[in-house]
Order: sequence, then C-alpha cells, then structure tokens
Amino acid sequence: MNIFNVRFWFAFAAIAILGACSDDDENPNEGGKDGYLIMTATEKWDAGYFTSYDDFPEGEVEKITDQSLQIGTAFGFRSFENWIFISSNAAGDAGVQKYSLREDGTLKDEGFLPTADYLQYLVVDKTHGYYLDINRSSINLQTFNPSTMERTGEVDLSSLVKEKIGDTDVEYQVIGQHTLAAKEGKLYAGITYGTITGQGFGDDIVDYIEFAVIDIATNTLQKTIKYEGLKSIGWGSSGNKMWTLGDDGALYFCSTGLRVGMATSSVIRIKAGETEFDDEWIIKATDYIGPSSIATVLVKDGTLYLELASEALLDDFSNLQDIIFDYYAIDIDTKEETKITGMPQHHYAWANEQAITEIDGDIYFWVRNLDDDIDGYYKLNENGTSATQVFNVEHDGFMWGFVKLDD
Amino acid sequence: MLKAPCPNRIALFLIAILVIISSDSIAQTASLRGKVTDESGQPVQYMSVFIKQTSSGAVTDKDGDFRIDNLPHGQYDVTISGVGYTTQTLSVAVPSQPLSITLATSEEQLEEVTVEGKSETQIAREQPIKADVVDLKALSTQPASMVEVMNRSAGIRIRQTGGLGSTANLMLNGFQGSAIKYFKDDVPMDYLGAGYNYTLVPVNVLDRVEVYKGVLPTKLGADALGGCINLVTKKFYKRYAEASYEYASFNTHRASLNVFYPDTANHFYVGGEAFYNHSDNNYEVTVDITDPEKGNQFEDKVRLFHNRFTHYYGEIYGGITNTGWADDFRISLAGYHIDRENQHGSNMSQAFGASTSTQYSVIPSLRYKKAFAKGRLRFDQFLVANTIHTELVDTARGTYDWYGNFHPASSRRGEITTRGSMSDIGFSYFISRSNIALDVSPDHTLEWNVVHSRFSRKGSDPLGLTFATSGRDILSVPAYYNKTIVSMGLQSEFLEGRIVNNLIGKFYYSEIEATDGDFYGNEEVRDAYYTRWGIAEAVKFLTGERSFIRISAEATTRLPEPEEIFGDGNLKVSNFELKPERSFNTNLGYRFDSKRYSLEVNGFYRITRDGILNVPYNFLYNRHENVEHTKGPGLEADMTYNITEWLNVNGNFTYQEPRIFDTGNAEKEGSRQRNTPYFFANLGANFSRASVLGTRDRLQVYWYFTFVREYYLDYVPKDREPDGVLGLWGKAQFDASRVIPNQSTQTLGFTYKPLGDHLTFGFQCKNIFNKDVFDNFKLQNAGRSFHLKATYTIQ
Repeated sequence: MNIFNVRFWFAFAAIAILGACSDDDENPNEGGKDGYLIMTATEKWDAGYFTSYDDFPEGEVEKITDQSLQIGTAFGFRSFENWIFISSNAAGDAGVQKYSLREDGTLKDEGFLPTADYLQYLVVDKTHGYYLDINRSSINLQTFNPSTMERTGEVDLSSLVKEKIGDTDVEYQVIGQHTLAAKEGKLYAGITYGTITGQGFGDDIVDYIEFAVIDIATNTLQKTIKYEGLKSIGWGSSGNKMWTLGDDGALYFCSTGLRVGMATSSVIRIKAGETEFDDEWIIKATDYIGPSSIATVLVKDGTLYLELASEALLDDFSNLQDIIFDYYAIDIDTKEETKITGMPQHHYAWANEQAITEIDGDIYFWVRNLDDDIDGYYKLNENGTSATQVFNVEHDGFMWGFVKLDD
Repeated sequence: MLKAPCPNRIALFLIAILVIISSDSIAQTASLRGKVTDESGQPVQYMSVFIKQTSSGAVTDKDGDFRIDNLPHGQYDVTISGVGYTTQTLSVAVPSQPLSITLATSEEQLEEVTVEGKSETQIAREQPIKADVVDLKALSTQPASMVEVMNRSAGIRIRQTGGLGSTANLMLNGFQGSAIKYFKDDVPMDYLGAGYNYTLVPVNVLDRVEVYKGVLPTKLGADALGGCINLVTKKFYKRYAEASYEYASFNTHRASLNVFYPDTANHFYVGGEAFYNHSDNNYEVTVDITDPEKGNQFEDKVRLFHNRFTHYYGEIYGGITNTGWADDFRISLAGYHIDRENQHGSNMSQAFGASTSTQYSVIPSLRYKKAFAKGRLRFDQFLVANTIHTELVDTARGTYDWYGNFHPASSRRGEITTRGSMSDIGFSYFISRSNIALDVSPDHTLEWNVVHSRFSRKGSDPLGLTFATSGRDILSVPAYYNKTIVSMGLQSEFLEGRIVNNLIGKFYYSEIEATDGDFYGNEEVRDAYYTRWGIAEAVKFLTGERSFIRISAEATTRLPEPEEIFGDGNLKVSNFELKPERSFNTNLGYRFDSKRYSLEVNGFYRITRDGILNVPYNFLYNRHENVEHTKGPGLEADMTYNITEWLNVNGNFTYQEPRIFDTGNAEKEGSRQRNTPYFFANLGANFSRASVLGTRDRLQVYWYFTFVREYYLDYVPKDREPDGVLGLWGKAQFDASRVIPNQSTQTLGFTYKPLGDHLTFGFQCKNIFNKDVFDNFKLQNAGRSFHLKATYTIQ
C-alpha cells in the first residue's frame, strides 16, 4: 500500500473515531441547593439562559457562566422555596418544568409535566399544585405533587360549563388559563368566556371577572365569585402570574387592560379571611396618570408597590414597549401615590414575575433601560421613596427575572 | 389585480431583437445538420464529421449536434469518426433532412475513450461557473434516494424531517432554504410543487443533477442567493424503455417507468415517464411519552403509526423535431397526486394520529427550441400554467399519544391546533422562461434569459382564521405574487480557450398583493414591490492539461417566496415584513484530474444580509424571518483515488464558518448561524468486478460513511463554543441543551448485473449500525433500513 492510501485510511479512521464520541452522562449530584438565579433572553422574545450565582449579585454580573443552562423559551419564571418553575422545558415544549440547583450551581431537571400551549400552574406547597392542560380538559384543573412532579388527579369543575351567557354562545370556555391563586386553603381559578379565534386572550364576551373558589383540602368546588365592570385578570402566556399575596393576607390581582383599551387596568383584591372580592376597594391606573397596564404588584406594610406608565398607553400597543414606566408606592388605605426616585424609567414588567420582589425583607425593583446601559435591580432605600442600584447585567439581551432560592 | 410588470417590456424587446435577427436567417442555405448518439441513445460529443468532397467538417457539440454550412447541392460522402467509436461513412444528398447517426463503440479504443473523452458530467464540472455534477447514470441501479446521493457530495447537506416524502432542507456552502433554487431542465420548478423534487424523483429518471454553488449560469434565471440545483432529465434519440421497482423497509415501494419512441422519418416523438412512491414510514423513534395518569414523561422507543406517504407522478409528451420551423416543439401533460399522513409538527413533542394532507395538480406545458442564423442564434421558450391544490384535514377533537391512543378533549377542534383545519387552497402558477443565445464571434457568446412567474393563492378553511371585523375566511381573499428575473451574460474565451470568462448581469423584480388583518382584525390590503440588480463574474484558467483554477464573485439578491410571505395557512404563518436577502459571494477553486485520482478544493467567502430562515414560532408554528446578517469563509475538498482498476475510494469534507454580524447584540455577535451544520464529511469505497459468476455479469459493492459534527439550535456565544480546534470536538462551555448531536451513519450495498446492462439487481442497507439521526428541530429520522431494487432496460 502506498503512502497515499495510508493517509487516506488514517483520515477515515480519525473521522470515524470523531463520530463515535459519546455524550457525557448526566451529573448525578443531588439538587436543592440555595442560591440566586437570573433569567435572561438573547433577545426579548428569544431563547435564553438561566444562570445561578452562589452569592447575591453585585456590580456588573456575568450573564453566561459555567452555571448557565440554555433554554428554548425565556419569558419569565416562578419559584417556590429553592425550586424553579417555568412553563416550558429546555427544548421549548409547553408544560410545567421544575429545576433545582446542584451543588456546583448548575441546574438540574427535576421533572416536566407536558401540556398544551398556554398553560397555567400554581404551586401551593411542597406536595400540592394545580395546572391547566387543555389537552386533558379546559374546564377541569389537574392536580400534581411538586416534589415528585407527578400528576395526582383532577378537580371536577364540569358543573361550571356554560353553553350560553344571555343570548351569546360561549365558543370557548376555560378555567384557570389566566389566574390560579391560593390563600387560606382556597384555590381561586379564573373563568374565561371567549372565542375560538381569540382562544381566551382578550376576547372576553362578558363584562365581569369570575373566579371559581375551590377547597384545596377536598379539591371540590365551593362557589363562584364575580367582580363586575372589569375584564380579565392576568395573562396566561406570561411567566408572570400577575397577582400577589400581601403581608396583610389579602390576594391582590392585576387586570392588565391588554386588548380592552388599557383604560381599565386596575388592581382588585380578596381580603384576608374573605372569599369574595372586595367591592369597596380598587386601584385604577386612570386615577393616576392615565391608561396604563398594571402587571406587577407587591404589598408590604400597608403599601402597594406597582409600576405605571408616565404617559397614556395606546390601545394598539404602539408605546407599550417604550421606556416610559416608573415605580410607585401607593398607600393601600388612602391610595396616595409616591413615585420611587433614584431609578431611570424602565421597560414594562410584562413577563417578569419578580419585577418587584422581596428578598430577605428588602424590596427590589427591576429596571431595564438600555439607553443608560441598565438592565438590573435596584433596592428600595430605608426612606421608602428612593432606590439604589445593586447589580447590573451588561448585555444587549433581556433580563426576565431574578430570584433568591431559599429552602 | 396587479398591473403587468415593466420587465415584460424587456422580454418584448428581446423578442423583437430575435425577430429582427431571425428574418436574416431565413435566407436559403444548404447546410447539413445532424445528431450523433451512441448505442444507448446518449449524445456523443467531439465526434469528427468530415465531408470528403469539400474537405469541410464540424465537431459534435455536447448535445451530439453538428452543422456544416454553405454546401452546394449534391451528393457527398460524410464520415463520422472519433475515439472510442467505429468510424461510419454515409452517402448524403444535400439538401437533406437532419441526420440521425448512431455510432457503435469500438472495443479496442474503449480504454482511450474512458481516459480522454469528456462526458457531459465532466464538461459541466469544468465550466467556469462551478458546478458539482452528480452523475446519476452510474447510480441509477442503486436503491438509493437522490437525497443520499447528493449528501455524499462535498458542500451539500440535506436534512429531512422524516422518511420518504418528508420535507427536506438543502444546504449549499452554508446557504439553505429558499436561498437555493431548483430547476428542471433549466426551468424554475416552483410550478411542480411537492410533486416533483429531488427527494421523490427516482435516480434512474434523471440523467444528472447539476449543483451550482454560488454563481448561476445565465440560462438559470432565478434569484438564488447561494446556488441552485438543476435536475436534468434523460435525453433519448432512439427507442427506449426502462422500468424499475424498489422494495424496502417500512413497506416502502418505489417504481418508475420511462418510455420513448421517436419517428425520425416523420420528425416526431412521443414518450412518457411515471413514478410511484409509497412508504408507511413506520420506523422506530425514541420519544418522550407522557404518562396518562402521572402526567410526567419517560423515554420510550415507539414505531410511528400515522406517517404514510403515497405519491403518483406521470407525464406524457410528444413533439416535433428537426423541421424548418422548430428544432424541437414539445407539448407535455403531467400530473401528480400526494396523500400524506401527518405524524408530528415541527418537533416531536406531540404525536398526531388523524390529520392528513393532500396535494395534486395537472400541469400542461410547452417547449419550443429553434436555432437561427446558421446556428449562431438559439431560442428556447418554455410556458406552463397550472394550479396546485393543497388540502389539510385536522379535525380530531382531542390528541393522540405516541402509542396511537386517542384522548378526547372537548376544547379542541383539531389535534394540530385547537382550532383545527379543513383548508383547501389553490396555488395558481403561470411561468414563462425565454432564453436566447447568440454567438457574436467564435469566442464570444451573448445570452439572455427572462423568467416571468405569476402566482396567486385562494382557498377556504371553514375552521380557519377569519378577519375579526368582517368575519371573512382569510384564505378566501386572493393573494398575488409576480416575479420577473432577467439575466444577460457574455461568455468569452481567450488564449485559445485557456481562459474562459463569464460576465452576467441580473435584474430582479417582484410584486406582492394580499390582504392581511391589522391589530384590530380589520382587513388591510397590503402590497410590496421589490426591485434589485445583481452582477456575477466567473473565470476559469487552465493551469495544465488536467488542472484548472476557477474564480467567481457575485452580488445577488433573493426575493421572498410566496410561501415565506403568505405562510401555508397552517403551521407556517405569514410575515409581510420580510425583506429580500442580499449576498456577496466569492469562490476560489482548484481541480486536478488524472487517471489515478482527482482532487478538487474550493474555498468560499460570503457576506449575506437579511438572510431568511424558517424558524420556530409560538411552539408549534414556524414562520420565515429575516435573521441576522451572516458572513464567513468555508472550505470543501473532494478526492477520488483509484487504488486498482476495480477499487476506488472517495472522501470529502466541508467546513464552513457562517457567523452572524451587525447584530447589535454582543452576546450573539460572531456566533455561528444557528441550526446550521458547520462540519460534515463523507467517505466511500467502490468495488467493481466483471465476470464474477458468469461471463457477462458485473458486481459492484459499495460502502459509504457520513459524519455530521454536532451543531446548535440556538446561538452559542463565540467565547463559549466548544474549545476544540475549529470547534471540531469538545462541548459548549455551558449547559447547551438545544444540541443536534454528532451523527455518523454507514451504508453498505451492492448491484449485480447478471446478463449485461439490461437487468440489474441492487441491494442496500442504510444506517447499518442503527444510529440515531436527526433533522433541524431534532426530528428523529429512520434507523437501519434494507432496500432491494430491480431495473430492466430495453433499447
């Protein structure tokens, strides 16, 4: 065999060996480590990363590290203690995905419950959770165990099915698509009456908000409650659940005003010890600057923190993504607002579940303003009216959330 | 309706030139014309045609044609001779009808022909404009698909979303999708829909596939950004019939029939071709199964259960040839019908079990060829008008799991989408392609090419989207798309042919008109007009008797295709904001051929702006978008070595670095283009031996190995890429979960001709080690499969 042949077969052997290389096995480390986590997207609506940090991020933060996981959809996430939940798996398939942190800070896949698109979910405690999967039912909610990430059953809500409301046919009815919230042993599930075309997104055929109230201990329907004059709470495709449980024990719900003209954006509540809406209390965006879209609230010490646009939002969304938002502190009783200073104006919170978040007793605000090279978090100062930047992610992408994972 | 575009005037102007020139050519002259073919009916080039009485003569061209002009009326002795063929002398009275001459091969000189003669394949390979020519004659008896055959070539990578009949995405020098254009016999083949393409046409129906990387020759008028594929059908000059049948794993049946009958005396011919493809495509895949009770997932190997594909194609044609008014006037009527079961969407997260698709069309076409002015002016016209009907049924009120079990869900009207579909859409085409070539001198040829396409879409879907305000079915509102591509080229030879130069200018025009819904659901008539210019230059230098260098550069445009803008009314949604792609491409190549081995090395560099790719959109959907600008070099090399007379080996590799730039995003800047393989290689060995079991038999055994380096579905920051040299090994330096892993497959097969060339049996085992192979969005393709094919030819 001449030299040419030797080289040829050597090249073949090299390529064959290259092709035979196998993937590394999954690291078998146990999950459950505490830490901090940031979600970023490469572009606003693109794939992105979860990156964990051992210590509270400070100063300029490196966005992609050895502790990063690439994810196909980065559009907000939620957490429960030191678990992370997101509404799609790393490949981008719809469903309830749970992660935890390994000892080395990398993310561990803790289980996935696939669903149809536009799911909704709620983790009540370590062993109880609910989710909507319209592949199974658009009416009955599914129950699951967040520890094992296994479905455990179904809540029968079939008695709530309506064929007509007045003279109007109900083309599309879904329960839990936009809101699943819990307090004091009760689950509150939003009921949507929409159209086939709109699939329940901003196409409500009724002028009220209706929730099913379900007893969590028995998973049985107790009643339905209504709030007249508003349409839709929350927005099911967002990682942001758009409600909060205040330190006063009340549930506060955001009505975004999206696709209903922005003018009705509001915050309403169910007070502690109650299972009906508080008809006497509402925060309306139009009582302050004008039509806006309230998507994030936090309630602490009698103050409700939210963001409002500095100019009237237009119903064609043309200025919804402009850098025109400010944070405010509103006295829950007097409804007097105080603008939080020390921060530049920022982007709409939208899918960022942690746009206003509390960590170790302190309140943090997400500020994205790339004109000023800012995409980071500010901490509310002790005076309660100003905030100071804590960390910044220097990038051209999009931060969609920050959380402390703490068992 | 759209107005007639101004490029039509250009076409009229060109036709006027044609008429003016042709009026001069109709003068009475006594010329002798003819065609020389071999015993199989294939044209023979470089044959000497000599007239003893006048000592004049000619040499046959690539089509086997010759012409000798200015002959006084009378009787002549015409001698046809050439290497490898038995010399033949005829007595001919001039004027005469065109001659049809068949030469017998000469055994004594056959070896010489093999070495010195140039086949059409080789001639195409040596054009200044680089073309890889896949010679299908040599492969026609293998039970191989065109996709496999093309994937064995350097610089070409085709990814299919499944088995036979599934969607394919071809990549050339880093370009993919609609940046690549497809032709059948030099005519853009959009009008053939899914009925006739390189994934379905049996290899024995075609003569060859020309793969142009970069500059397109003038004759191929298209707005290709990165090359094109030209399927060249077999040409016959004598009676011919061929039939083949293949049976393979997954209940796959492929059959073809090709017949041709010429009547030289009466100047007409008739012929036809037909093929049939069917597969259950029920191969095994590893998928995530959702536990019906626990709701979570586990991996399992399942057999696809709703993936059947059936395809019929037939064409009959007839024509008049070698008359005073036409060298070839051909009328054709073709038709096809496709039935497809839809097993999954753009990924395999969800199984479908009831949805079906149908596509069909009847396609009348006409082709006219005529040479004027003593052959110096050649005219070629093609016309076609047809409607492609596509239907999608998605009415299952629930979902299927991967075991084929149905789970009713009252909230759903379809399994693919909750809305469901009963779409029925008609895509109407009219395409005119005119080509004029003029030899302005022996060394200079001018060529014009005008392709005008008119396209409209109209349909209905009772379950589909409606305009919110009017309630009208979106598909019921017609959409229009017109496109005109004008090319003008000059081919020149210098230094006795040692330098061949091509200079080509192009004009692109398209207009679109359709109705879209605004944010509130109001109907809004939208239109868009695109006008662009392009230029291409290609030159070839002979550096020796057996080697040459090729250099080419082009500034080109690719206009958005109708389906990219309109979507398909189903899983591919519309995007009216698309802009044309622009690209500047350069190529530099070297080729050397000898008896023992051949070597070809090509490098390219491209700068592409506003590249259009089909990307996932809202989970189950796709849509076309202008993705980031891309630039980067690439290198491909191909070598064939004849170790002995009966054994040769071939290897090639392609490495390309298309990276995005001007992203305005530091994280993405300089990243590799996502979902694009950047290194792949092939190896092959062929053993061929005659008289194995008998005196007239021949056995060929072959083996192929293909490797594709892992690549990523999302952008990986450049500083986090695998740290092996050129990224050829290692892993991304973070948990990059969206990865298409390394893939390597091997194919082994043989063909056996027991009694000469008439009957051939072929056997092949693909993916012999049953490796997992994937497509774009990590769709798993078939594992190991077995194929048996028989071919019978009558001449």
